[in-house]
Amino acid sequence: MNLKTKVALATGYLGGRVSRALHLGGGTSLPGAIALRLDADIIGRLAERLDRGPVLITATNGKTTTANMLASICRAEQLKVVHNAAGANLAFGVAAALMAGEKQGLTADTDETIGLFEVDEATVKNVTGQLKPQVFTVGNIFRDQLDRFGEVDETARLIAQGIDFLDDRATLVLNADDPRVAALGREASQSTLYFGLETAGTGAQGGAQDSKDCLICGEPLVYSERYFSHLGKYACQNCGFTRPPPAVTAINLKLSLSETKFTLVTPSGEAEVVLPVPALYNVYNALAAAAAALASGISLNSVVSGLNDFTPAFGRFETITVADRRVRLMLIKNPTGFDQAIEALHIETGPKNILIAINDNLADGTDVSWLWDVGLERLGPTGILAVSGTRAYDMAVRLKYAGVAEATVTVEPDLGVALESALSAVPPGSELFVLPTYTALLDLRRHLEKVAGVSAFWSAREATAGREGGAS
Amino acid sequence: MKPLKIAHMYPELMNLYGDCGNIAALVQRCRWREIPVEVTPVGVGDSLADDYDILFIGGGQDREQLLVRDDLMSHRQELVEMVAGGLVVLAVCGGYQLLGHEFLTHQGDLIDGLGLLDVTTVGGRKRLIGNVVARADWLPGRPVLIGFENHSGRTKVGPKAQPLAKVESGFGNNGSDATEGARNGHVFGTYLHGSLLPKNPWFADYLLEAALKRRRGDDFRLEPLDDALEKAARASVERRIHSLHRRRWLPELLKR
Repeated sequence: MNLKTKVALATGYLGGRVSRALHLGGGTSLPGAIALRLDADIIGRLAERLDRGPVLITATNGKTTTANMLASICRAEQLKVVHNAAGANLAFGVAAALMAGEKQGLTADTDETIGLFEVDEATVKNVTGQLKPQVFTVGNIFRDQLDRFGEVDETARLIAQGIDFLDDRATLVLNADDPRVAALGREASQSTLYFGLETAGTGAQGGAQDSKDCLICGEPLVYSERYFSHLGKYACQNCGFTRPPPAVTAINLKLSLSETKFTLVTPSGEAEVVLPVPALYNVYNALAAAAAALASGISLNSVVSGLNDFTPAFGRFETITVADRRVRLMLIKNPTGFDQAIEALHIETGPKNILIAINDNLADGTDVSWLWDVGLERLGPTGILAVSGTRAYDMAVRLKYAGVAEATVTVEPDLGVALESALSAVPPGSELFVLPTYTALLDLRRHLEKVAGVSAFWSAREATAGREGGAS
Repeated sequence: MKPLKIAHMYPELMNLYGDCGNIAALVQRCRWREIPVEVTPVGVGDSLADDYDILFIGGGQDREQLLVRDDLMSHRQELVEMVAGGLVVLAVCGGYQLLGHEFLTHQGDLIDGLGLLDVTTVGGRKRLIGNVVARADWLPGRPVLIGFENHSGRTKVGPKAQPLAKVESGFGNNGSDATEGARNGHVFGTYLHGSLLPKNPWFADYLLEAALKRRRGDDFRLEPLDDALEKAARASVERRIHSLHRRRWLPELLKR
């Protein structure tokens, strides 16, 4: 390591300590921001010290969950893990995670250390060249934060630019069921490993469907099976573009609100998985994690125990108990995520108590038009139905036009007040489903922390990093 | 009573930013008044030969816009006649651009338009993105349109059309002449998503009333609805825009 890198590291660590001491945050990005300023190559210099190589994960939906599932698998394999846990997925966050790993001595030469990096779709092209991931995973491309990228095609183009920086020896792990993702593998010089579902369609379809036409010739794609949104078994009758046969698949799905059972089929054999989270999109996340693990040379045994032992990430179906009421946090970032949350509520029958919190800060996306792409007409029976956040009234209008009686909806823009009144209205022993956008989740989590003693966002993350460091 | 007939053009291809909310607004605001209404999705290759009252076309990506362009052009003569007969047309974003004479994308593709509105569009490099407040100062009471824009096209309104509204906050047609959208008779084009009509119920009612007048005579008036929730949503967006403006000056200053 040269002097420049050492200085960058030391200054970055110091910045993180100052930030923590001043309570400005956990310093999950700041050390990286400082170090990158002093040594622009720091990501590359630190990443090359990972002897099991870096794995990159990108997607519009489920990056954090997929990366956490993969981290759980790596721990089961007794690997040490360097990981930008819980969402610091820009270049600063990647650098900061590598620096934290370096500080803990995880990259010392004799260790079996793997790097797991969830990377923002627009950042992929900026970090891939330096990171040189041996496995490059693309989960899906849905509508997400269109106010930032402009158009869905642009998201796919940004990820393709990242693939151009990849080494030929790398493996592309791609979702076969998403035509936009599968198309990325067509012209790649790297080897590909596809994952997808092999089961009858769920019948339910969300509102927004982004890839409806063949990306090669523009003719409509014909689906023989459709799982949700534009994911399914598709073929173009005109040019022959078709779903590549997936090597890693799930069959015999059994869904419930508390867990999902399926048979994992891989080139290394079959195994039963009991995934401790609900919903079909989590099966896709699990398949992406399993395929990325297998491409990294991890055993099927570790894949299965890692998935079975997985703990949901911050706000991703996390359950917090407050005064004998269970609060289930389901982050919604875009139409597909929201549709899938609504689908998950249908897994078990009966009215649900729901708080929807819509913010329009930069990290949420400043355009709330996407609420109209969500199939709220499918919301189903509700008990308490409250809306909150900076765009509470937009959400209330959306519900009104979905046919929900105005009188049944409580509007309270203040998140803390909305949470407390929803909690007091929910009878003890029952559940409150909270569907927040990203910054609303952070805010609600802080309120829950006060009332239920849940550990703070960044310290929860630190705890995860510590556990990974221990490689227990 | 014969239902009010709405043609929803290319709902699969041209629905990028919740534009289907506009159809929901038209339909629900009829239903709440017990006016029978019927929506027909019109896809590529489908016939337009029906006595439609309102035609809606939403926004799409450049690629999808190229796909529907040819189909739309095949209906050109028919549409000109329908508009002359009083058809009310609302087009948003990509649909708006297709109503004009032509659209030159930033990749250099020239997309011919229908020429139903005297506007032309040239693609720009930087996308114009953000909340918009614009005033329809040609109407009594000068009502305000609120929405969210996200487009790379810069549109100029020619002499045979008028701007739909005057921009008070945001970019509008091109970010330079403070105009937003265009209108000519009952043909309206706009860049505003949001969705537009649920957020601007007065404009939804304006379109419905224009369409229903053709059937029921010029004296026809819609019954007012309780729009308290929509008004609260509009007020909260306006407050939000103002607070964002206030908060923006500091980062802007630091960028210099």
